[in-house]
Amino acid sequence: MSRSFHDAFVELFDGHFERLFRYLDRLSGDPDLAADIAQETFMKLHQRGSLPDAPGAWLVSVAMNLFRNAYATRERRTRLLKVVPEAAMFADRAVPPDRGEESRVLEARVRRALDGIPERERQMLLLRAEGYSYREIAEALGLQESSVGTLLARAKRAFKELYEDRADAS
Amino acid sequence: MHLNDDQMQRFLHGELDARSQEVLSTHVAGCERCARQLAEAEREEKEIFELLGTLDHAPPRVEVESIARDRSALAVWGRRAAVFVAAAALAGAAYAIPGSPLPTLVDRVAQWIAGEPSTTSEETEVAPRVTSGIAVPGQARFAIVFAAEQKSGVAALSPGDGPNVVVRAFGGTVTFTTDIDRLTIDNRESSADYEIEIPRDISFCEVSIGARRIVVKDGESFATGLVTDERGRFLLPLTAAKN
Repeated sequence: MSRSFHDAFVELFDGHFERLFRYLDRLSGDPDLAADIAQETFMKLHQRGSLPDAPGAWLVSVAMNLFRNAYATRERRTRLLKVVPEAAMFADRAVPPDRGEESRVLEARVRRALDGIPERERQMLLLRAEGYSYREIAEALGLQESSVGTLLARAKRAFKELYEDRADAS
Repeated sequence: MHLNDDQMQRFLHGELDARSQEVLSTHVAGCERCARQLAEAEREEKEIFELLGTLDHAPPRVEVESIARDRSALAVWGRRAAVFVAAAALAGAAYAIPGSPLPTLVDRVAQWIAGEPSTTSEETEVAPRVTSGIAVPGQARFAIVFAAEQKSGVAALSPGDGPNVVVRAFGGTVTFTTDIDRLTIDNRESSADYEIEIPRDISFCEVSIGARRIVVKDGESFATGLVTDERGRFLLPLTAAKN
């Protein structure tokens, strides 16, 4: 393997690892899963031995394929969690030193709003939040680049409506 | 003319080409409504992104060199995957008949193992992995029998141009038994989703789910009363019918 690939890989890792992790963490709500998938994605890139034309989009695409493989397990776990009322979820859990009740309720509202919007729009919103370009988003999600702006506007609108619904209901 | 959603987003994110940027900048400078909407869109996005930040956890501490070291372990899995794909390909050869779904299944399984991006946008979007599938010649009258209702799961039905009834299961394990005019799917304890293609040439086809029977094709009518998804497939829930 050439020295230049190693250097390019390190540079890419430094620039992309945390934002890929953050994207997967927000998408899944499971930081351990997100960490595993982000690492495995970079392992696959290293195994590839050369950089793809669009590294950002490639990393997201590979990570999403790995994520889908793990998704069935996560879905079952999520379904079990959803039958537990929100209040009961927090009833016997110690308050983390850095998070109070208010922030945990806010987090739950955001999570529910995010999970309530269609998958593709959810991914798009999270990718944009991490600064991915329209071209990268389109390549990663298999969309026409020309449709990204409209779909992004729809995603934000859907998220906001669901979030405000939750806020009003509380 | 005011900015539409796409233009508004692209303006906000610097995703316009130079010419469009110039034209829209001029418009926004002279249009109070668009300037206000743009400011509002910017404020809303900032608010949404801040809210998304409440979901964050600290990223793991990963040394980039450890990724390179683990490569050898990954290579072992790669060799195992190659053996698996070869076995799947041999199995596929046995079903190398026109209209067989197995080549597609093998490709998808190979992509799943490799973790590579899918080759088409449609596959990327649909995404779930095929766990089993079958193609059987359709008869004039044909029945597809699910042994039981599921706790979750949907069958997405669509008319097909080929001669075979094609069933693909996603995300669950099922077994198939075929007879001359029926296909039985043992889906007990499964929560799989399915894609089912029913040849247009079949004159009558019904789907049974446990004790429930649904006529899905009768002459020219197809899946009457079922809702469709964004791909135009008719969705048949496999869960217990609500009273």
